[in-house]
Amino acid sequence: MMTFASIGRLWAKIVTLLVIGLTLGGCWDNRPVDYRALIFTIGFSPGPKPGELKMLFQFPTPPAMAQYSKGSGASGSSPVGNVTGEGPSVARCFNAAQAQVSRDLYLGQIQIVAVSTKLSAPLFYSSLNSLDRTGAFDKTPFMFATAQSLKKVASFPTTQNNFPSLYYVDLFSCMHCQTDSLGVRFWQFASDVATPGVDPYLPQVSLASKPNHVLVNRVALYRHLTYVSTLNPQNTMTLGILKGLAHKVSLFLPRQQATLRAIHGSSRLQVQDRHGHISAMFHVVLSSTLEGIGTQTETAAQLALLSHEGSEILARRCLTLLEKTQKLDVDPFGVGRNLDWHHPESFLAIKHWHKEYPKVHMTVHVQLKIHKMGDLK
Amino acid sequence: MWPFSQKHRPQPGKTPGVPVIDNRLDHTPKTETPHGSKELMDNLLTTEQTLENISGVDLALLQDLITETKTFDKVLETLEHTVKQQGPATLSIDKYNGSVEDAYNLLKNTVGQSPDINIRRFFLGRKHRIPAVLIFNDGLADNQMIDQDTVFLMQRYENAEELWDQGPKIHQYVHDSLVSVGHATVENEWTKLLPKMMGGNTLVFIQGAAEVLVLDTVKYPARAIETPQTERAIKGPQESFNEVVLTQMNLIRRRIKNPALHFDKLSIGTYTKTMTIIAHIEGVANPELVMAVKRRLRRVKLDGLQYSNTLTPYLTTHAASLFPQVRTSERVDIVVRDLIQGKVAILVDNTPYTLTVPATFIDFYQTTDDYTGSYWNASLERIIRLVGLFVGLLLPPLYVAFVSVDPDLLPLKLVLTIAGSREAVPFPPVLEVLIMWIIVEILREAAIRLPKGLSTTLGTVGAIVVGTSIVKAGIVDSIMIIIITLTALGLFTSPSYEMATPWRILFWVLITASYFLGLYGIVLTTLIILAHLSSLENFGVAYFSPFGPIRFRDLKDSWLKYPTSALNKRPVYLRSVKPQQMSKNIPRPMKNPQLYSTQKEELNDDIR
Amino acid sequence: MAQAKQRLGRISGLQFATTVTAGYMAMGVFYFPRELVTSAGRDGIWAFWLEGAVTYLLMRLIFALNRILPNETLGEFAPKILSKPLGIILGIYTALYHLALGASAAILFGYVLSNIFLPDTPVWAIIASMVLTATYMASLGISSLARTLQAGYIPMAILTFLTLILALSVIRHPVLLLPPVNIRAIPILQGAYREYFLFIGFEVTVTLYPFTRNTDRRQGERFAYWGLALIMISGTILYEGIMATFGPAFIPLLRWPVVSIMRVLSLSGFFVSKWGMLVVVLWTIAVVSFIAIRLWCLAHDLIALVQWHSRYSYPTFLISGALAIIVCSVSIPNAKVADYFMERFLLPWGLGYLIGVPVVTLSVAHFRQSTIQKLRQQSEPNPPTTG
Repeated sequence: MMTFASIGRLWAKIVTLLVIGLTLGGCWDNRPVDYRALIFTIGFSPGPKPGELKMLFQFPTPPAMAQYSKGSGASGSSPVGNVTGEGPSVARCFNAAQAQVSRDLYLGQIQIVAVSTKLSAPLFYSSLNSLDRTGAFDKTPFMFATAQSLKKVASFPTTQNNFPSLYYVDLFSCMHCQTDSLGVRFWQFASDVATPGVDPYLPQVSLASKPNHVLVNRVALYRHLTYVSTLNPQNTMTLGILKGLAHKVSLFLPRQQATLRAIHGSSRLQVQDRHGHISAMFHVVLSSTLEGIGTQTETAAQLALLSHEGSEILARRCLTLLEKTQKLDVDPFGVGRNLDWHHPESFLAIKHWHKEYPKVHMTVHVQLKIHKMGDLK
Repeated sequence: MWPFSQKHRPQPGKTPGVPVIDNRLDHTPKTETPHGSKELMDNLLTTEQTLENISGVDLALLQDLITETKTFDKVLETLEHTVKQQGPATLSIDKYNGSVEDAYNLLKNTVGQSPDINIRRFFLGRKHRIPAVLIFNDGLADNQMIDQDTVFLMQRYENAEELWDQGPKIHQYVHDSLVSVGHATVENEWTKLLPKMMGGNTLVFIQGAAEVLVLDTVKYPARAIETPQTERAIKGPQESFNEVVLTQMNLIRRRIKNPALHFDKLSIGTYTKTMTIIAHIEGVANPELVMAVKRRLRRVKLDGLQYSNTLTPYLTTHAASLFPQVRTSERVDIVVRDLIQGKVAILVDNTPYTLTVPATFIDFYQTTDDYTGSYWNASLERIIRLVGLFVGLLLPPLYVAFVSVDPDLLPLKLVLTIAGSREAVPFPPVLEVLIMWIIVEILREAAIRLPKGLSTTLGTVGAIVVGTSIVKAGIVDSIMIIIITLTALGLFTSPSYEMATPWRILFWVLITASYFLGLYGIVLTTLIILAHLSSLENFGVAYFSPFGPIRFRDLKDSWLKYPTSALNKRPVYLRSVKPQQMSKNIPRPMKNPQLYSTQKEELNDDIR
Repeated sequence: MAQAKQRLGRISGLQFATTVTAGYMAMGVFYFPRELVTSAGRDGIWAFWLEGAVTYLLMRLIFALNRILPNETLGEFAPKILSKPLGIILGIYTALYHLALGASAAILFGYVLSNIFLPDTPVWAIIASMVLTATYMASLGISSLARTLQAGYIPMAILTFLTLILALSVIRHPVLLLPPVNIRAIPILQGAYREYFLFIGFEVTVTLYPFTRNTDRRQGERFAYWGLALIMISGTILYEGIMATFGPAFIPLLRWPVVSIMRVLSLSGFFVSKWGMLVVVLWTIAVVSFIAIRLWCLAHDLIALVQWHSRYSYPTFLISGALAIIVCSVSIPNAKVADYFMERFLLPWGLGYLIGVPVVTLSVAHFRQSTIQKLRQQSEPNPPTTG
């Protein structure tokens, strides 16, 4: 068999060349973390000039990180540094920001993408596109929208985490830490934007002035990439129920003076095309815990009544929300998408889904079960 | 005390060669010294005398020359005489010619010069006295055996006349009915006789005999059988080999009491004549393998063989590889296990480390404890060794890769912690690794070389100095300490010390690769290492055997150890001629012995 | 036939199958299932299964081709059966094809890595290090290469499989898991054709077959079918995972959907949060193996073509092949050009090879039975050595 022993020298030459090449090439991607500014949050808002973008880059400051690694608490000064860049495109904003920072602005650890509700659709589209193309940016960060100043919202100090971005990451990645799990990841948003027949939504963050705290209990609705409206907290809960995202929804039934909590469950959407008339039916199956009742002890008949009444109230709320979205002409539930997947030919026949959506006949079936009744009988 | 007691040193000035007792029985003509040499000697002596009178001249050189000349003269004389004696009919001068006097002269003039060799003339028989000469190595031979079982018996022998009638067969008679040494052989070639004597045998030359008696009076000074130091086991036998190959064979024989166990002897080393034993079990080991080992070892041409490891290059096909391909062990039980599996063991005199071939990669991760405990225990330990290997080899490169090249793979909180702890460190991660690793290697090397008591102190001091001070000084970050500690320990989880060396070297390759190409570089390097491991073959056995080529049967005793009942066949890679090593169905007689009823019956019997 | 004699009894059936299986998939998997979904939409799964069935048939065909003269490579026996000029053309075709496949795998993975992983490292460095590793692997000979695949490729494949199961956790639309029932033939055929470079590459058997132990060849074929089955199963899981995660509208927009799904996979509470990314880097093993197999085949086919049998011939061809791959890959300016080349040339020519060569050779062989008998007796050396 042919062997390599005889031409070992050739190998030696190749290896030498390679080593020389490597050494001459420098260290390429070798930049230790302390030479990089780890951007945790980026934000998009409209710039002062029309058609321009204003981007926020937020990274933890070195002293704050050093303190974090030692396990000591936060100091007086802000733990994060904010840099803004303005320009017509993401790259220009990035350049403007990089000019203000001595370290390499590193996109590989972005955790939060914050979007101003005032951002126009074309700008939003172009920035989304740029981010999607960026290789170093992985598509898993959470997104939220806000109507307030991005900088304020993104760097609002909380008592729970050393860094504001950590607060948002912890909040959105923990399903049981919210009433509805509203967290939307970048790729989920991007795929919703790209899919016809569905409109994306984002959780909306707002700052309450008294007392000082962050509120994440509303949802911003978009028509494609145009901001349309924000749902109030109750409608947000209802949206969670309809999308199967509800975790800690509660319901007060005034007639029985009863409260049901931890309402959660799944939702199934069925879309049918009956001779050009599209009807959508939501089947929602929920379970809940009895928190309290006016009579103190409950009977089987009472329970049945409670569950029936609860179902009815929830169904009514759902219908109201659906009608509201139809009025707004926003389809965050993906009725059109569902039609496309099940009856592609009917969907293809519709030219503009947004013209069709308000006409869809909506039905909601809610089945609320009371599974747990607490320790009191 | 052996071997250089002062009394044996030759006295300068005393002419060697003068017989201790007169030779009254046999008259041999005095040999004539060649003229030239006589003249040369005279000249030299005169010169010495002349020079002695002149002060300030160093005579040492001349005296050396005179001594050498005298020795050379004697050798020449003996040689000439031997040639003359044997006449044209004899083929070789290497043979003992039957003359005790010649033998005596030859020995006295050659090996007899050395202080540890004792030559003694005596007469065999009480009345009829047959001249004889006895030679042995003082210290390596058992004095008691020589005194009581040989010389005493021979000198007191009554029937010497009858002996004399035996003619050239006389040695046979002596062998059969006189000496009481357990093992005696005959030999008549000088080139074989002398090494035997050097090894502790006693040679007896008898006048007129055709052969020389070789009496086994070997008694080595030897270290006791101790507990193994390099391969410790918690449970299991605690015997290790010592330096004496005979003891090594004994230890193995004690465990394998079957005639199929073969020890084949080979003597390696022009000067050392080291006894090398090739051991295998016939009917188990593949004969081709045994043949290959023998052939390869026969080819060994060395001046001296001291350590068994010297043979390793002859036993490996890819001798330049970093990876050890011959397993060395001082544990008797491991060698015996290997033999029973069908491997070949090579025992080398004067080395307690026995070699076994062929060895595969996983062999270096198997140890006694794996077979003395439960298979759960063994599997757990093996997995920990694998983890140790991974941690030891990959942790610092991964640290460099993650911290310098691919920080995006790290979870958010970890990247914060690392970045925070690195803020005050002036060096890049790769240099941190370098600093720490050099410190660890120096500590390790120093700890090995220092006396035992000191090395513990050094370890403690090192740990304190390195662990706390260097972090406080801000040269290295605190995570690095954890990483390097794990690395330093991880690589030594292999039961075999030599397996740590390749990883310690490859570690640097991986660090370099991760510095330039991050995780991708690590993957490429790992692939190269895998390819290299897969390409190694020794004695036709793939080194990386149960993994590449995959052998499902052998995987049962790799990183996981199956219960013994699942290992009823010998490893595939050994291609043993007896693949089955235990019967398939383990009989379980008396699975549920009737203890209760038996107790009742016995108690009832007692009452009666 | 000294060469044939030396060569016998090298690799086992399992090693043969591993090598054949590692010889495809590695290049096409990065586009998977973009082309399927672009053409066939949700019906892509049918297209994928159609591809699997076609591959099974083509494999049968190519094994039948190998069995004409099992002790010689196609490069060696083609000139004797098909006439010399045709044989030489076939040899050049085979060699060029290996070169092109190796180069496209290198360029493809080079761009994947440089895009998501090593943005500041020049592509040539990534490609060169990859090809050099492959050259080293191939230089050790087929038995070492096959063993390395067993020790490296199989664990990687298992890890990937487990990760795919983990990937099912990111599924957003379980409704998309159901195979669609409204089947449209034309888009499915189109999708199957466009995505076929997933399976191009198993023609390594034409060179590899004689290196398998005589007794293990049938077993090797069987194992190769099993390998195809496993690939189909993991491919199906992968397809379903990607489809139900991104939906049919988003997949056509993604450059490398498989990489995208791996990137959204994360493990919380582990040292590496982006587990999927780690797996993507581990795919280096698959790509390097793919290139190494190409290089090995390339060198052997060139030896058969040039008829230069010396101890230097294999290393020479190997290194020149590696250099050619590096040069080809580096001279391609971007991933789009590579896409264009693959779709425009590699795919039709590759599929043509896989269908055309066995059909032509087998039909010629059918009419030249006596020649084949003679050749077989010539090339059949003494009974194969054991071990």
